[in-house]
Amino acid sequence: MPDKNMKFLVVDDFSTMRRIIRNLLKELGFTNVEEAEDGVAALNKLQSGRFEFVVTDWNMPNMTGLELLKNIRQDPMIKDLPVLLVTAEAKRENIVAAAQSGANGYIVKPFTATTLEEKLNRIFEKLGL
Amino acid sequence: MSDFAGMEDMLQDFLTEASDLLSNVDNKLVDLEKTPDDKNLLNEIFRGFHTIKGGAGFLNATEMVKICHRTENLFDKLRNGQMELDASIMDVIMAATGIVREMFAELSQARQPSPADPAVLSAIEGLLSGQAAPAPAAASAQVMPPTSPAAAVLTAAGVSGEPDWNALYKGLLGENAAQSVAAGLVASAAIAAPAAASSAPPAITSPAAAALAPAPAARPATKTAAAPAAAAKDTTIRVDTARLDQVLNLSGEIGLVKNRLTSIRTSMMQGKLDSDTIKQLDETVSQLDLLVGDLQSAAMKTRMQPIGRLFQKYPRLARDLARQLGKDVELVLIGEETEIDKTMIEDLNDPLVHLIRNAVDHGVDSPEERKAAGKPLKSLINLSAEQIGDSIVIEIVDDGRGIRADVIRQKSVEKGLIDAETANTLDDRQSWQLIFLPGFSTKEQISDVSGRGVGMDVVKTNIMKLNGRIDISSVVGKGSVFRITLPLTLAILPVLMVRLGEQPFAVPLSMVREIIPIRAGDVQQVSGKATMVVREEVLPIRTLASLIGWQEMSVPSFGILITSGETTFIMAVDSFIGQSDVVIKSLQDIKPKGIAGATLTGDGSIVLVLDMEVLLTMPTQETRATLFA
Amino acid sequence: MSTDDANADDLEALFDSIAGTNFTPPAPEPAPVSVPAAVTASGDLFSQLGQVTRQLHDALRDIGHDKIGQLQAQADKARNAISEVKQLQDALDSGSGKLSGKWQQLMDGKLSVEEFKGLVGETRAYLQDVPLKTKSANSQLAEASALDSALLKKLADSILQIEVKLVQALAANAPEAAKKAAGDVSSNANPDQIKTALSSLGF
Repeated sequence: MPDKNMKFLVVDDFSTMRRIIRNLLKELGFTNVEEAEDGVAALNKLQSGRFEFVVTDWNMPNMTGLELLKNIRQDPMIKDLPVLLVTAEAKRENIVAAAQSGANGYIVKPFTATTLEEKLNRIFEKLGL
Repeated sequence: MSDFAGMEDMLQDFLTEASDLLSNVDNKLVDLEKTPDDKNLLNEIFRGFHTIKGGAGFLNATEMVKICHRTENLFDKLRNGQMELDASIMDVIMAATGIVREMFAELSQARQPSPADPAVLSAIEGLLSGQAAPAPAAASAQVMPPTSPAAAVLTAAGVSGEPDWNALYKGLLGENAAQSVAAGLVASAAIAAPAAASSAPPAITSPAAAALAPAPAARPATKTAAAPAAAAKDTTIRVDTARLDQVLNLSGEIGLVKNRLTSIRTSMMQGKLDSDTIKQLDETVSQLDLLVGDLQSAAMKTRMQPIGRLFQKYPRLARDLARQLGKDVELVLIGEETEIDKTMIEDLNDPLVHLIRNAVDHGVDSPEERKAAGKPLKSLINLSAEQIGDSIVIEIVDDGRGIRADVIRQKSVEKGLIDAETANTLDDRQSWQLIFLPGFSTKEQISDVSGRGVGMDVVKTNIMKLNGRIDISSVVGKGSVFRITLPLTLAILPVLMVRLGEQPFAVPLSMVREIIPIRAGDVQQVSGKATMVVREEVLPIRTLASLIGWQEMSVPSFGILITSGETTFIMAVDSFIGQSDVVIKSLQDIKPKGIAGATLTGDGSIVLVLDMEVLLTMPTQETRATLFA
Repeated sequence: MSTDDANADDLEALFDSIAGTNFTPPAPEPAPVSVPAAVTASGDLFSQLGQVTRQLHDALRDIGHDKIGQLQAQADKARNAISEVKQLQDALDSGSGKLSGKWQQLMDGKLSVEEFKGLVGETRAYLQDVPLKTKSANSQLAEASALDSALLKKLADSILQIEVKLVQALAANAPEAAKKAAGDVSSNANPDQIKTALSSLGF
């Protein structure tokens, strides 16, 4: 059972979406959530704060979610951070790209708290949390 | 019944943010028309639809998801170079954003959006599949060999191998069809007319766009339903967290100062009244004064929003209207970052929409006129905002035909708004102001595009409600300037405190030009009115006492030069106290004429705030004799 | 549009398969698999080979489900064919929707004779277009199903070949008694023959 106080970073350029994801996480009992509005801001936050989980949108200005993921995996300090990619389409090429870049999971918009929970639990299981 | 029980907050967030996003998309689209190959623009528009779609999905707004998705696909093809942007594709896209906006209106009434106009959807579909819809004419030419028995019968009556369409039509619909045919024709003609007008500049060529033509007329029901929703005020506000933090910090500091004051009070109550304690008290109070001032301005800033949020809706508005009128107009935005009180932003929308429509419709000259005048065919309308001192100045500047003051005067007389004698005394500036009189309209009929039946008088009333004013200047043949001057915020009003006898009154500082002493020797009688010459200008004197209907009690010693609209006069008072920033409280049940509200002074006494615009309409007649009686 | 509707479970499986293999998480280097120090004794080799072959054989039985693997490109081709057919269908669908809308307008008395004439033309064009479109759809589908079965056959064949080679290798290294019991394994042995041979070799 993962620690409910686990620190999440939710990354999306659309603040409504950040709020939605934050609320869904809250429903699941995760209340320690911070937000970033794009990949660049997220990377800065990740490098300076102790985050334990990243939920990021794919399509964002400045730095996309995929680029953020690649940057995370290349940074020795944060390379092991679990990353859940949020995508608008269940497109094969997207899923393949996400997996190949080292995403721990993906989730297709729109989703419910239950779906999010399933996705998170799969990742927790794989990581042995 | 709400379709969004339990999701109201999310819906509100979504509407606020997505509407901004859509306005942004609209603006980018207008830019895209100028630079159709700009990959960045294409990308950003793509992302706009993509983001709206994502949010709409969480609201289960499937119809919105659908149209955003299709449009997004279209942009995907455009940005990947699989398709090239032309006028007809642009029309389809513009129609799609129009539909999304209507859907926002439905959402704002807590209703799930109704399905998008199928004509637009299939137009997008057609563009996506890259196949033009079957051209009816060509198809019918090849498919009509009269082989079937039914066709043979019908052909008998027809001409040259063609079936008798009228007979067929009647056969299907019955003999009574004739009447409905006529009705149908009228209806389709009515639909065709605006469509044809809107297509004027770049001719619509593709069948996809043609299918689209009736679209604007197709959803009238939702449009009218949407109007009251749009009028409903958004009660939420988005505040930059840094600004909110500043408010919190200041509140914290004030808390500390309060603690210090409490402890000083305790010492003083215990009889400790030495100079040290007094000094401490003095320091602490000054500190509190400083902090409260800061808190006030920080709190005010949370209400400030960049005016760009409002402006960004207008380029599209101007573009659509211009196309409809067969004009080429670009609305240029300047100073979008200028911040203004959020409550004013909302109230400014209607007047600005009206002024922009007015500029495009009446201000801008027709292509023929421009050509004849040797002007560039494209007209520019600048919409700018700037903070000047404590005011926000918004200007709508066109390079059109200008406003002829003599025509305005003549029309006003014809319409019985003023008499011919008065008309002759008006200079150009005063004549232009006549436009704002109720019942004035330079066109015989209120044109369709100026919409809503709102006249310029309503524009002026709305601006004045915001404690602002509107001025016009114009050069015939060169263009016109509509300038709106507004206070920075409505919450705090800078005033000049004056006294009549012992009673203090507050005059909005924005109207005060200067304060001058009134000496009996300087006052002259001109055509029965008491006047004074100030800097070579002969100005009438009116006493505050007579304006508010008080008995003159003493000889006034000070005059305040007040400018309101085009009128300048000297208001005589007994004495003045000074300048102050006040928070106006409106008077609840009693509404004395000429009083805008009340406020409290530092010592706790009540001050009435004067409503100069109303007071000016009071008929008074001060003579030299009454002044110095 | 084309691939959006792919089955969510399939995609999940696809994600897992790639996330598991292609991406090596930056975890510590995996410990080397413990292999007996020297595989000199033919006995060791024999038993290892035997286990591998048994596993392979078992895996082959499940081959019906596990269809992606290295031949993904071909699978994609099949998928594309299906999505093209879907597009054809969608086009037919939207065409009929559009026409039926116009006919409704006609029946409501909202079309002029001229517009009605156009509508009849469009409808006929549409009707003529339908068989062309369905024909094209049919041939696409036929191609897709041919691709699917061809792909499976190819996969099964190549694995059977590997099995045969392994069994032959086993037999060559088997103790004499077992070797006799197993008999000769020909290059075109069928799965049953391989099963029998493996059992005789003691696996």
